[in-house]
Amino acid sequence: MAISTGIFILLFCCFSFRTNAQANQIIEIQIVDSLNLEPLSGATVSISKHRHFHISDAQGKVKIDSLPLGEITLHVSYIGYHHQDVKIHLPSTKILRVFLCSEIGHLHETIIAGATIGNNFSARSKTIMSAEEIQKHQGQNISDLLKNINGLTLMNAAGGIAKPVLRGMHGQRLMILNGNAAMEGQQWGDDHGPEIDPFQANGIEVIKGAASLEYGPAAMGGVIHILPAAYLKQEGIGAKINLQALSNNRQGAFSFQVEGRKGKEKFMAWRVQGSMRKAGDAHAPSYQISNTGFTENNQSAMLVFGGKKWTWESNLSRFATVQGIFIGSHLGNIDDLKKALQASKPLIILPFSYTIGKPYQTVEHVLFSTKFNYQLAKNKKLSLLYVQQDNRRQEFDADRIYNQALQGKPATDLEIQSFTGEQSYEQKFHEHWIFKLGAAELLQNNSVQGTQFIIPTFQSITLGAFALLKKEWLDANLSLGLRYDKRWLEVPNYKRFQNSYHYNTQMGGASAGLTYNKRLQKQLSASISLQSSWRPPAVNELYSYGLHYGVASFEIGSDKLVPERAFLLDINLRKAYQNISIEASAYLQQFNHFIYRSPMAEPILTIRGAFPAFQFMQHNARLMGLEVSFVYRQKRAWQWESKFNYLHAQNIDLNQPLIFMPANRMEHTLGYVFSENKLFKLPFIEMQSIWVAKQNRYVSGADFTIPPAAYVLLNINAGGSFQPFKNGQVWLFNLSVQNVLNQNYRDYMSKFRYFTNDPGINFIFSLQIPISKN
Amino acid sequence: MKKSIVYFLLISTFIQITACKKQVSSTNESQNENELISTVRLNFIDTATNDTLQFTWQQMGGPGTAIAVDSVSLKPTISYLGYIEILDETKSPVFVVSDEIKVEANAHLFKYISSTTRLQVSNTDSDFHVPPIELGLHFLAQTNSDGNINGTLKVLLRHYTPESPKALSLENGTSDMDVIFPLKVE
Repeated sequence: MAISTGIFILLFCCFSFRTNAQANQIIEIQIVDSLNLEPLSGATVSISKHRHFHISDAQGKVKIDSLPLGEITLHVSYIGYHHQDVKIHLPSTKILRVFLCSEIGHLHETIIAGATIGNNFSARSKTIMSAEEIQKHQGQNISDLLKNINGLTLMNAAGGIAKPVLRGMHGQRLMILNGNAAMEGQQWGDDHGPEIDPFQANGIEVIKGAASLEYGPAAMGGVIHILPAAYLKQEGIGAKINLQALSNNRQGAFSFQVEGRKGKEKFMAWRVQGSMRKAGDAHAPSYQISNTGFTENNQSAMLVFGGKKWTWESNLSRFATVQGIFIGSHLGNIDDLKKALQASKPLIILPFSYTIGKPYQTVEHVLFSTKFNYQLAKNKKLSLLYVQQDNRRQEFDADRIYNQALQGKPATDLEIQSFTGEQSYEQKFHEHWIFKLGAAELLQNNSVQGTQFIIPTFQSITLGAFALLKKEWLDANLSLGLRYDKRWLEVPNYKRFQNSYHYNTQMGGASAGLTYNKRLQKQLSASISLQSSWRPPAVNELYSYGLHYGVASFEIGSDKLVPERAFLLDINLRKAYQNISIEASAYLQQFNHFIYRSPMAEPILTIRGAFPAFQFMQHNARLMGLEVSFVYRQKRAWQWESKFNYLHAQNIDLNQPLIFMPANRMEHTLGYVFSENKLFKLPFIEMQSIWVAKQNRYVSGADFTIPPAAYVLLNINAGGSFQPFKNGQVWLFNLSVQNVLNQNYRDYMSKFRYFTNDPGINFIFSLQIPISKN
Repeated sequence: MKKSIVYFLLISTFIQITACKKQVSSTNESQNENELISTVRLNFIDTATNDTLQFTWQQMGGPGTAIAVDSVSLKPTISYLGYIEILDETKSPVFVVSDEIKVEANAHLFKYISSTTRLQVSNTDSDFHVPPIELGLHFLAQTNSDGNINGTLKVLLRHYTPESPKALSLENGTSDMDVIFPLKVE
């Protein structure tokens, strides 16, 4: 109790009310984890005036009767979570759902959510996908989950590779946080997806606004936070099996995890997990997309020690994949490219196979993180984080090497090691104020081998410091953030063909942000965010020089680049009315020296012929966008959800569109949740239509082809849970059909749209089997 | 509790120290083991005089750098026996790529494309397929007599893979080499 009382009372991160029952002087409360929405059993609810004291049951529910009329304050607390004081006026006809936030985390940048729950109507600067949503949308990689978040689209590269794009930002401008650790790999590559096992995700949040200043220059476009399941909150041992089958590329996946906890107040919790995945060639509606099979092999382990005032969590994980690259995309030169572009289907189509031939890539990512949280006093908290990761990427070209001594060697062989340290201190003062101070250090070491040159070997050190300040009122809150980072980058002497190069740079910059949330009326809230952030140019933008066989183009860095700076204005409105909730966000992001790849006037001449060349340039740019969502939810009945997404990206200096930005899109989902029956609990079915517009904003001549036509996809998803054995565990299952009409289409953001249609119909079955709990 | 902090600090310090060690060792100069085809040399043997003419296309600095190219200058109404040499002259000793192509004949084909009818080139050697398919390390070049002309001679090297084999169609494969020589017949 001592931990939970008094500390961070004002951090009432994300709680909301939900109306659906009738009672008079009886009140019902359900207490759930704010991120994964799992019920918290054993939480205490007390009423200060009346000394009532209640413990929540297995469903996280508490029923309190014999309450007087008038206003009462409920105090809700649970070990390891920020507690909350909730004011209620009786009589009440509501079931109160209280969302508690785990203390293991960061300074949450959120406020009271309106009257309903769901990933679209959460607090402004954070979009949450719950464990339930994740189970419903399991796909073949982590990005398949992310695409369910409004404002997030994917950059696909056939087969298993997909990169998330948030409001037009990706790679170096979008941070992906895996648990406590920011993923550090070769983010610059369009065909380099995040190295995260999708089975590990138990919650997903998007952090925007002032709170993102905690994460440094890479968080310029926001932070996608993948949350693994929290450690067990009660003593015991449990296990879980996940099975998955996908028809389109005849894929199977399997994951097994065991976890346990010993001790109540002083405890040790652990988890071991492993997963495997194997897929063959993907299939477009009328042909195979050859050599797009892949395998994945992941392991992870977690160990947590905790005491009355502290927790120490360590994670070790390994992600390994062998990924075939679509065979029709590796071409000799521009004449071959022209021939491939003119063809209506790929020039090489082979029968279905699980065999991964050349070209292919192998990636291995090992991540170790350890985090120590210590509650110094009731209102003071210290946390220390150390992360070490190693990312090895090898790319083998289909392309022939004549020298026997070099045969079998990868064309590209990159290994990047990253060491991160982060220290932060959080303190509450004057009741409604809270501040957080922190420092971060990042050391990176990239070594390059292989027969082809793309980026050089380098070392870099980045140091940063930040201060966040937050003031909370009952119906509003204000966050301010300041940050300064400095990066030293050294490229040691290297030889490219005949010439030697050597670079040494240092760049520094400040970022600042302000977010204000206000509840205007009972069910209407608004927020505004202002932010200025910077990003130093990355190594590939500065020094890359080489051929990308993927699309037969030559890429050249520019060592003249200076850091880019973004100014962001983000406005959000949320309104809830009974079963309906509407959310709208509008943003304007103005860039000074926006770095992008621009086509060069003259092709590069090589012995293979002429290649179109692209050079990194910078200009002032503006990105404007609008995201609107509408949700109608009835308990055990109809559900309707619509999302609308608009983005306008312009190069201001050249007065032309920024290319390779996601097209506008719209999604509608109609669903029905059935009442419980003998067989199934909460069975549901939903039908979704996704409309993606043609990207009309392009610069003619800057790309090999014009953007593909608009398309509409139809998906169906059904699932529920059932109890196969009496008194046994509840199993979760899901069956979805994607691209039900087996539509031929090419997505503008798909890397292989020049050569092949995107995949056709895909049946996805997933099953989750918990083995025991407690 | 205090023990845990000590352990935490110890472990992190250890990891950081070992990390730094690795760091230092990789600051040496790095050089990629890249393969570069720097030179294409065409040899024409005049069948009337037995004189050998040599024309070279050379790019020593890698992609995007300066190209030095000779004009292929031939006399009218002569049959030339030709052969091609492909070299990586940035290596020491010089690496002879054309020898490797000879070994991998079944996966390669040279095409000589003249912009003018005054020069006709045809391949004279073949690979190990049964029946054999033309290869083009050796060729026959025939000029005719209709006055002086300037044009180009394009030399293509097609590379075939098991997925896109030579035996199925010569249109298969991808380009490993694509160079253009200025051409004079006078």
